[in-house]
Amino acid sequence: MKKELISILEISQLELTDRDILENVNSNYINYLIELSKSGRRNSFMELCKLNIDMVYPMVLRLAADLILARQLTIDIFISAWDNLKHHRADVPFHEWLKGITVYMTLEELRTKERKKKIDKLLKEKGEKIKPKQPGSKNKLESMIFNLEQSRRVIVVLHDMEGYSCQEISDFLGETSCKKINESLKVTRRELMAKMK
Amino acid sequence: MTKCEEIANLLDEFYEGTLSDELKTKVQEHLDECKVCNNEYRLLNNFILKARYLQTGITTPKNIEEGISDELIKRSEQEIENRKTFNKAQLNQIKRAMRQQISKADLIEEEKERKRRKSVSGGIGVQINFIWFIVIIVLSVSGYIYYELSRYNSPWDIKPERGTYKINGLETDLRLLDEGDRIETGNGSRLRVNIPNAGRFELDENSSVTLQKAKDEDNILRLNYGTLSVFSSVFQPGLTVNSDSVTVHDPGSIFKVSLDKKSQTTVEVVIGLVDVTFMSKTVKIARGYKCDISEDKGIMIPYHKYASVTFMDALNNFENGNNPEQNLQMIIQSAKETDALTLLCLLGEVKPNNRLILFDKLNELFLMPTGVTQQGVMQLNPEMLNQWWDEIEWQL
Repeated sequence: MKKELISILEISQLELTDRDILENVNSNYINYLIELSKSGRRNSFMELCKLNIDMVYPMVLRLAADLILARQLTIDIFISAWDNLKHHRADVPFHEWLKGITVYMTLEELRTKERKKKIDKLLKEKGEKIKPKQPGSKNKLESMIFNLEQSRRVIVVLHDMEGYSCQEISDFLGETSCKKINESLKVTRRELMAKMK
Repeated sequence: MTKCEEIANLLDEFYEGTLSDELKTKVQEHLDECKVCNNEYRLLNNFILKARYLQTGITTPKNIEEGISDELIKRSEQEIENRKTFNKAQLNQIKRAMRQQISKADLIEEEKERKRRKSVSGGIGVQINFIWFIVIIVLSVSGYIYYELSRYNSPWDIKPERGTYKINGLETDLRLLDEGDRIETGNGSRLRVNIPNAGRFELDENSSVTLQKAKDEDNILRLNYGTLSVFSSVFQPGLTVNSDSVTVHDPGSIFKVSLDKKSQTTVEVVIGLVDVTFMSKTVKIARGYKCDISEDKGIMIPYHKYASVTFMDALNNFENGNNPEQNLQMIIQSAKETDALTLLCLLGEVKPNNRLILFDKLNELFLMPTGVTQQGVMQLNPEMLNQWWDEIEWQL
């Protein structure tokens, strides 16, 4: 147990250091790409997409737990970022700005199910089954998170994986109180911990 | 409930650090004694770390990039198509005008056609240019007027959560808020109002706001008294909240503004960054920070909502001019990483010799990035201070 804990801590520290270095190196390059994208250069924006897609797609998939929906939502998020690029402020890190759009659009979709209805309609026209395509993961914990009920999954992903506080999640979800979020988090954690044993 | 069960219920809060000092000590003592609970806590600790630093097992499908690229190309083609249609319409208009002019000239001066052809064609050229000019002006002006009018977005939808409310002093069931309307909540009532294309605001009990301007990207609310929470979208921000002589400009964030009976305004930012302006002085308030503004003291130093009691006491005493030297020492000693913005704002409020101590503390918490020099910070170079804050903000 001790060894496992130490190895996780070491990995986390290493990852942090690597991320720090990468962000320092990339900040000027990313700013350069943002400026070019704002002037209308699609190639530069595609470069920004490539740099951030591995952050956006897993986050959307973990929140939505539907492969087709996650793919389409990821495209929508980047197109929305392209449309709103003029609103991006230089003092906000690009990945943070994009993360904000990702959370906002994904939660909005989970609430309204607009995109899902469109996908279902399209599939129906093509004569395909409307069952959501369940994602799978090589990682056991991630697979278990996909199988959670939506509201509990959203809370555990935003809090434990993305680092948002209970207050922030409560603000995102609008109706849910901080206390309810904490309770749900406790129950979900215990359930996942028991399954992982 | 046994002691172990009681402690097990508190483990999550203990890990998050949200327990009171008394409970924290109680849990820590129990964990030192009880192996079962200690093991449970280790498992929890292990789980949270695993979740936070999870190496994802998801592979991003390659066709997403293609999807984005296809969508961008589709948009580009659409834009070109729109431009083409526009040019075609303009061209037809010009041709029609030309034909009319030519036929007019033909009818009036048929006999002198040869002699006057040159001068007529010259006149047509001038007239075409003139018509072309007029068409462009008319199109631009009407386009601008249409765009400006389409930005007006009132009335806004009211969604009462509990209790009753008044619009312009009259208790009503009306669910629409028009430009110029004043809405008030009473004891125990609360409501939310959707701001078209920009998000929503929520009005706590015993509060009042006036909708001064309802225009996309330029919405203005006036807080008359009470507490107002704003949840604005990052896609189309542009909401300004006025309270007394304080202006809070929001570029897409979640924040709370309160105005109390002593005319003191408090701004608290939950997510994002807002600009607070008072008497031509502007301060940026970041996520997790609070700031008080009053008529007599102006904009006070912003402080983090989780700042320690010692830190806050020392800051208040410093701002009130009680033992500033001693309290500055106390501020520096008790400052944590989350107090970085407070320290950065204090740089401009202290004497130059104390600025160096503040600089050292800040540099100890967050190493200054390349491009920022000690000399620049000591001279309060705004660009360098902004650059340093950028470096600090994403680490918080």
